[in-house]
Amino acid sequence: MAARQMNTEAFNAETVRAEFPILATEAHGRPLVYLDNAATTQKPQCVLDVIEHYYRAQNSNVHRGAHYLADLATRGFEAAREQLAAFLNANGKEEIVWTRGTTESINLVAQSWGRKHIGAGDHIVISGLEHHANIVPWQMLCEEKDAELKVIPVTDSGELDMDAYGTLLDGPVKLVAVSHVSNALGTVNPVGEIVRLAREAGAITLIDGAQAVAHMPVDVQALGADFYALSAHKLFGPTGLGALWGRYALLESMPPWQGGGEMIERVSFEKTTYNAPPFRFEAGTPDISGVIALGAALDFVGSLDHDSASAHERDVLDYCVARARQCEGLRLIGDATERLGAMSFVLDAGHPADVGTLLDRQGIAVRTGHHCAQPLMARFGVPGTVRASFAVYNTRADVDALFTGIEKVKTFL
Amino acid sequence: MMDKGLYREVLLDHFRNPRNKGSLEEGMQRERGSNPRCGDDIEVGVVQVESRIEQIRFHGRGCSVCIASASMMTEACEGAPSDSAISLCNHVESWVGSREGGTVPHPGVEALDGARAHAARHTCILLSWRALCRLLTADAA
Repeated sequence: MAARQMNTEAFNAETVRAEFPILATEAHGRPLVYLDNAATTQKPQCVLDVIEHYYRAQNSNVHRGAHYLADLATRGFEAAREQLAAFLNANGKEEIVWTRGTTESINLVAQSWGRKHIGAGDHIVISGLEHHANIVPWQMLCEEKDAELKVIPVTDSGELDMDAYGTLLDGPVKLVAVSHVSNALGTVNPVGEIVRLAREAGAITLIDGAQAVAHMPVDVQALGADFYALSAHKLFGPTGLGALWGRYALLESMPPWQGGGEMIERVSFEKTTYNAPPFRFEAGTPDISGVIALGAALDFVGSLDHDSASAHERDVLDYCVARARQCEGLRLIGDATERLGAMSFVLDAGHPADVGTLLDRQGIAVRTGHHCAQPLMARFGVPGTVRASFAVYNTRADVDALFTGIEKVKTFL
Repeated sequence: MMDKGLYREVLLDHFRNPRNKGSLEEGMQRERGSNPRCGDDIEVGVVQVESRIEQIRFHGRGCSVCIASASMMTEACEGAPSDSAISLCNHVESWVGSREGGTVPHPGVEALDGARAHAARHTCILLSWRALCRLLTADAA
């Protein structure tokens, strides 16, 4: 897939938007304003093309056949693994395990590493900002092992209370699992510091990077964490695919968690020996077209001039927050100094479900509800919020449309 | 005004000025309905006298559709025989589920016609009705 070179002088949002055919959609007779990117990003034409091309010209199973198509599919599949390894600055493609998404990546660590290493009385530390996907797998593990789940409290501004975190680390902590960026509030957590302190305390770390990877470069080696989980569909790739990055020595020490084809070395009815990572954790036929399409999505991201794209995203989000502060009857939920990709709010005028429905009627797609973060909603005393979340193709015009929409909602309810 | 269909004036009136909404009195039979997906959480309370709904109230929080529907329900059910109220609950359930067409279960719920076309809002409409139905059915058993 040839990467397009973007103009590095000034970021041209219209050029980027033109790569996403769905952005030309009309919703209820109005131009679509897509502000639900934290739920899933849209897909550029190059990703759509690669999926079609795969089924037209490459379709075969991977690592299994000696024939022409099997070789094509396997090469494409493994090339994408190498691309993702490079994207995350992993220490080799063997550290990348394909999964169905961030949720499965976290469950893999909980079920494989966790069941082997967590015992009675051990502590697992998560944060009050987590998505249910980074809460429930640990709760299940704690219940099974009689371990304890500890939660880093969230401040009124929607940031983690790092002093309280330090205190939690005085306990018998075996693992710390936190999000890089909060899906509900957009708060960027100080993961470098979180990881450093966890390592000093002798704990393993897992970072949920689902909301980070589309917005910032991630260098897992510089970060120093042990595991990093992500989803392809929040990174301009297809749904149903994700990845787990793990330090190879750790992955190698972990037992398999699902049995089947691919993950074995030798099988007899008496004894089965297991393949090496990453294949040990990839039982069954994987999402081959999805993996190859993620490669195309990474090409797309690589084609953007990082600095100007990042400055553009920051400008749009800052503009949105500034408009929100001037909007009467709007209350921001969370007001972190470091914020990326999303803004959450409630309106005095109405329940989030009504606000979402009325915005939808104006062509504006936002997410409403608890954002799979019920404990966080309880922390702020709201049943849910309205969340506007952004990708590189959003513009100030989208923000203007949102606030025009909000004014109409206020007169209506 | 946008979206006349979903947010009819009658519905908005029930939302802005809900009937029979407020704290439930001592001795009322109660049943709670909640939808964790959107945070809606209401409680229905009734006083039954000789298998008739003598008094019905609700309290809690919810979106406009949820609150308006609960308000309409209290008006439609107050004074009704309990078994008729159960039948009405079931009729509303099937009428909403069908999204369009069918006989309006009660003149007092006609304004929900626009909302029932939106499958995503069915739980909002039915939260209070299902709670009432559970309450009355359990009591009749």
